[in-house]
Amino acid sequence: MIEIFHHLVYGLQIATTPTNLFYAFIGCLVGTLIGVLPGIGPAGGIALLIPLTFGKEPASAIILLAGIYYGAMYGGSTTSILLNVPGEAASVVTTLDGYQMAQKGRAGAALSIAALGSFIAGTIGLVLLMLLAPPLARAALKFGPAESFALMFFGLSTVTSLAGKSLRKGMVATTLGLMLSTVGSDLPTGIIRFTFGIANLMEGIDVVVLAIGLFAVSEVLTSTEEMAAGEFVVEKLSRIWLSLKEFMQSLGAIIRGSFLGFFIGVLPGAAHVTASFLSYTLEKKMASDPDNFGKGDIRGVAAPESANNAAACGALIPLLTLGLPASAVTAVLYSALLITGIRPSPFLFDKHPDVTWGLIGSMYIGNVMLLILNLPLVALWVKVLRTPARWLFPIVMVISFVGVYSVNASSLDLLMATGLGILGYIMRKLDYPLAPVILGFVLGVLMEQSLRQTLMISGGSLEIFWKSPIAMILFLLSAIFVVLPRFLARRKGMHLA
Amino acid sequence: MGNVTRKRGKMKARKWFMTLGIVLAAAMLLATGAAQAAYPDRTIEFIAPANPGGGWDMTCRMTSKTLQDAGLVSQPIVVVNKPGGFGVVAMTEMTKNRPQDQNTLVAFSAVLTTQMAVKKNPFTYRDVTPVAVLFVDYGTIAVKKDSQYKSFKELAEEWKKNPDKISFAGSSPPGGLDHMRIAMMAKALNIPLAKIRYVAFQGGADALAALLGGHVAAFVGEAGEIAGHAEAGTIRPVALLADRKLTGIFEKVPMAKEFGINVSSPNWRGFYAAPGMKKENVKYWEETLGKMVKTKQWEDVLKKQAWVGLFLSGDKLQKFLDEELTAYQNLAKELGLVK
Repeated sequence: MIEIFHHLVYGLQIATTPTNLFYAFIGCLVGTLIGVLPGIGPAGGIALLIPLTFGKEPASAIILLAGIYYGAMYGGSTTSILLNVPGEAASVVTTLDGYQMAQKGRAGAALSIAALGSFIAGTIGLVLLMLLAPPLARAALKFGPAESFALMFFGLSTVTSLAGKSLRKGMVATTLGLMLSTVGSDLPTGIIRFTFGIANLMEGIDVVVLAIGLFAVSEVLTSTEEMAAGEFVVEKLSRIWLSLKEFMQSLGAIIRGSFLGFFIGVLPGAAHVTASFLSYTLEKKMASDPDNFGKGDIRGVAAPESANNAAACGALIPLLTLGLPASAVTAVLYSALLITGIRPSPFLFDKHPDVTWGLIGSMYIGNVMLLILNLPLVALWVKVLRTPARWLFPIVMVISFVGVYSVNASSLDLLMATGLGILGYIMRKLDYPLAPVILGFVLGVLMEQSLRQTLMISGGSLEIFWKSPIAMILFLLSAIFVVLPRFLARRKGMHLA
Repeated sequence: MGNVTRKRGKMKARKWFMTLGIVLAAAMLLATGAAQAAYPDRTIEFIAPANPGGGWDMTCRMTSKTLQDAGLVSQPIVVVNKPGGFGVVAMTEMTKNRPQDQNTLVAFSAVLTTQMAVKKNPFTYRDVTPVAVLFVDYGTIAVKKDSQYKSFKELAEEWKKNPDKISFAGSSPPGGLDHMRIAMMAKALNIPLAKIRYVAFQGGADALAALLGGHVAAFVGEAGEIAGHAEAGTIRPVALLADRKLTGIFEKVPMAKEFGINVSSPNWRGFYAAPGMKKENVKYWEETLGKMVKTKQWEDVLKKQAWVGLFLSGDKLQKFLDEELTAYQNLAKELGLVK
């Protein structure tokens, strides 16, 4: 314990040299921008800035690049809340209540709780990272293909909390997402599916294209229609800042989201997405008034935003303690380390304490920087909503399409975003929820992959799932998630009768 | 009067200096223009046909860094990731959309050859301009630190007895390089190919995690991918699929052929360019990369990554690629991976 404290002091010493403070600040600033602008995500952003680290100390390089990572987690909620444009898959769930809050004139409160939640979660995540890294990394290795499949399956069960009135419609939307996820080259066999001979589809549909098309484009379409009919009203901004009551109301959600996000972050797979959807579901299930969710409940913003920040801390654990990147973003950090001349290995903490503890130290400082940077921005962002709708919507379209184009520089993506926008519009008209499509899409790829890896290992036998206690527990939890609320509802109904 | 003349003189002088200034500036512009005309005259693009973090990405990033550190290029280099279909997307882009591109190099490797051999890539090397091969990363088989199989011999014996029990984690799709490695070994051991349990993961790191978690019996991949873990002792490389011993961390690892399994599977890596790259520009890159592989910085990179230097360009490279492709095509047919 005392040893960890010494290490932390050492790390803070490295992180507080003027050069490293500067790098941490640049990282956080760029990260916030990458997070705010839909399109290029943290992995792409970090890869772009790797050349900036040439000739720098390894510790400075990783401090700068990691800053982009957790900085992007702060910024990611901004467009989700203000404009219903999720910049990345992890902030899709934030749109559910965040955008509703903005419509009710409480954008400021939503943005503030996202920033505060991110700060608290980032700090809790760091403390857990320091205390638990080695044992957790070992535990995470227990998650092989079979356990990963069970985890993704559990993730899918959160559809019950996203579906709104009709679970059936939620299932249909999830299935649509699962179907879209099969486009592209199939990893276990290498066979190309549903690409119609278009080379650009071989890597599948990009989640950013799907999220922006489905949410942003369809949002502009429906809002324009409402505007023409004179029905579109954004309520006047009541008060920019968060009230103490709102903060206290969200505190539990933030703390639960932090822990949940952190532990899911350590596991392989789509950590940020799973963490944000699961924490949202958890809050909704725990709430005494679950009906408020989806109508602008502040806990619905606080929980997922905290969870995805804490997941960023958790995701660093396999990289720092095992030298194994478990996600797309940490894979880029892994290459960045190699380029600076450090080979990530299980000895990273022993051999390069300046890098590991310097990074941890800088993340404490970076979190404070991000909070100071983001809170004043809230006042600026909410002004965006004062823009008259006839100007705002075209701007949203421009930002969205630039974002889509920035991912692959492909004009096909622009066409797809348009098509998906129309699909989203139809789904809204028919009262189908959109978030489950993203959920199914993101988890679908990994689910299929891990299921087939599992069956390859077992030679086609399903027995392998029985033999894994972790998988069985997760399946059981999924069943409880789906069945229990209906059971309770029925009993309640019987009482009333 | 005198005052006026003096004024006029001053004006004349000013005009003269201005003219001189303009002439000088123009001359400088022309001079820099002439200097810029030398190839490369604009930002160079390195395309990694995969996501950041993998082998192609590392090839691009390590090469661009070494070129810039050693001062061998006058223009900045940007690395662009263009993932898709194991290199097909990038190759389509170069052949269809920018066949005349003079400023772009694309990373390639034996992975592309195997994809061509099993016809999952509609192109061949004849469709582009191969520029150079820079280094080789040898295939290797590894087990977990506490695996019950102490040596390659034990692993091979068990595999022969119970093919069902030995699953291999690799990072290429079936028909890809890692799968071919296992298939070649199985063939040498007379194990029916249908009995092979090869599990494809998203990348070397994921395959390694599956090994460390005890979900598979063995790992198949390249020495560079596991150097860190081999050094730390968390995994044990039991055999090299190489026709030569390696130095450093892999010094004591035996070659598969020492156990009578004559399988050597190097993955070479390098760059190709657009089909229409001019001869003199190809030459520029052959020379520049040729200089780079002789630098101290590059030597350090090779050592750190457990890579082995191998420089091929020009006719030698063309011949090498032709032989490679034929060899893999024959192998794919023999292994029943293509009809």
